[in-house]
Amino acid sequence: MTCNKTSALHAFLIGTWLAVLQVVMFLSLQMLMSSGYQTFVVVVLSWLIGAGVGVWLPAGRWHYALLGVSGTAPYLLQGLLALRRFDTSLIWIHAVLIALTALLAGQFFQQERRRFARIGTLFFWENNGFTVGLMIAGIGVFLWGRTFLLVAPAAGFVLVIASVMLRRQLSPTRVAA
Amino acid sequence: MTNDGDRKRDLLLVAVGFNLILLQLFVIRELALTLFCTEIIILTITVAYFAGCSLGYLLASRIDERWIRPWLFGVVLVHLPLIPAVRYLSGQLAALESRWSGANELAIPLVAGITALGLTSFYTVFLPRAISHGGSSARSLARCYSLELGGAALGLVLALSLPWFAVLVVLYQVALVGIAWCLRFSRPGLVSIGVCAVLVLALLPALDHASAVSFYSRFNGGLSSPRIVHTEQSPYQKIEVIDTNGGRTLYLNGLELFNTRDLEYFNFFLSEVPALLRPVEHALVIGSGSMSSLRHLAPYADKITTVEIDPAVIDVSKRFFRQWNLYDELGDKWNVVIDDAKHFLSTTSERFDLVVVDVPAPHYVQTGLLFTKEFYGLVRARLRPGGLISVYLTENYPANHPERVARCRAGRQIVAALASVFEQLCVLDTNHYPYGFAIAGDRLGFTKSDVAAIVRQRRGVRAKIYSTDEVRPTIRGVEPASYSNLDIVWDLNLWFLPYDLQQN
Repeated sequence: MTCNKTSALHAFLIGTWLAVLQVVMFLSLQMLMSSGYQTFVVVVLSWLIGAGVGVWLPAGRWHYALLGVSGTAPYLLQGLLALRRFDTSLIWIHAVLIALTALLAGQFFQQERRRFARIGTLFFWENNGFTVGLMIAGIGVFLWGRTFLLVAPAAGFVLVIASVMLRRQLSPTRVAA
Repeated sequence: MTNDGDRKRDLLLVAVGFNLILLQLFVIRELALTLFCTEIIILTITVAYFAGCSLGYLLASRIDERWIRPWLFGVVLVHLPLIPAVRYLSGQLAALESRWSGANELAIPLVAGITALGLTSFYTVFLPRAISHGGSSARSLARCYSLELGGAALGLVLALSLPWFAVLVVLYQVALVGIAWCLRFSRPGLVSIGVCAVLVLALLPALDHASAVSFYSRFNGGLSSPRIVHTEQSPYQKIEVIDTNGGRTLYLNGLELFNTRDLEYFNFFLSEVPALLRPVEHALVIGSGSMSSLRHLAPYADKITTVEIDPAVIDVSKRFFRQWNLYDELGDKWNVVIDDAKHFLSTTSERFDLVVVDVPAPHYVQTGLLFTKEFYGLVRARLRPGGLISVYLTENYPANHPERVARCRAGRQIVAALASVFEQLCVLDTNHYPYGFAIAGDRLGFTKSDVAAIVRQRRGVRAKIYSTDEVRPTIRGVEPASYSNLDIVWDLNLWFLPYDLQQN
């Protein structure tokens, strides 16, 4: 597998993971806070704001910090929901957690843009991953319900980290060394 | 310093984001309901929507500048009429079904393909091109991407705060004309685009009405001479009231929720029977639909509270179903709370003698959650001593036929959920509907013969009644419907695939 292919794979997996995280947080709020459309608005708006801020963050160390944030924030959200069920006064804290998760959705493009000759190709692979992630999340929730919500963010994190490590293994500098 | 070209590029990206989110919010719903709008179909159309975005990204660097203008012309002319066109085509395909088996099934790839190829791909061409135009620098990427997201945020806020859906349709077309302006169309070109946009807007209501009539008469339900009395888009769903020679029907997202022809007995079993089994000081109705359960509860309850998530449904019920729900005769006896039922139950301090769960079938995760043991636990916490919950099962429940009842996967999971929360339950199975009904509580305070006596008094009604001891063996080893087990949603979705709407 070439480095280009691993970059495409990484973009794809990030997209998949982000879709899963978005669905997981939305459905967690639906289950333990409210199914009102305001929940949907908060999730989507917070996500848009997070991604919009994230894209201004520079490439580099931010990326790895944000991978950690995106891997943690959905569990904080679920933990808070478990502790304070149906407490709509906490919606702003949930909104912040969603926005923090979505920072990666924007910053990721800064991180990866130099690896792709065309920016459209980066968007293409990330969006393909997002599409597949929606399918996985939709069917996963059907089949495993809350169990999926608890397991999927961590499983996605492991896959994303694995793709980062695979790319490092195959990077030209490493091969030369 | 920003020049005119940069400003136009910025505006174009905002318009693109704005229209993309409107498509996601409303067009996915519109197209999905032509295919019987279950969760799987919504997911399919959503996936097609994002596949269209991918196609746009792929084309971004490959498509020549001179093709974008004719493409935009096509988009202005076709985008909005596409929705009635798909609905009309669905009706025509259904009409072909008698001669060509499988014509119905063609609708899924057709609608998904149109969504992917025709709707979203156009919009996603612009972002990569704009970023490249700015030298693909970090700043260019950040600026362009956040502008598009800003447009999407604006669209989301407007879509869910403006009370008039028609304004959004107009704004959508205005954004398309704005895109043409940003693409530096010549004055005659801009005028032509503007005229096309106005023409589409002028023709759209008639097209929409004609296609809805075609759709409901040929495809969905096979209604005879349907008349569209009312159509409304709420943040939750599309609400339609349709008159036929046989009566009036309420559709939510294209799914029939209530009709005045044969759902009279449904409310008898769900609301009236449990209300006759114990004194009811305060009853809670979860969900409303046509609110026709009110009429069945009112003679036996001192006070009725309805909890409904969508205020538009309440409004439609008041306006178009008042002769069936008689809500204006209830006076102070009835009050309505606009809230999610889970949230209401977990936050209210009130207690109820009877809770009637009159929500749509679990076609979606959202409604599926209201058939789970977690939800029944919330209900139990708000019942007075001896209080009852009444629910309908999503299928018949022939508890005395082990082989037949074994096939009722969803029904058994709902009954198992009730049995995991309440000490006692009673199941009614009737041949009037493809549903069973269940009444549960910690202490029922009535016997099978009490229920049988009530049912016997209603002319033309028959039901088999099963006690707790008769029902428990049917759910042995069955995992209750719960937040961790949403098989009921999955099963119901699969049941409608492949669909034959004329039979449903």
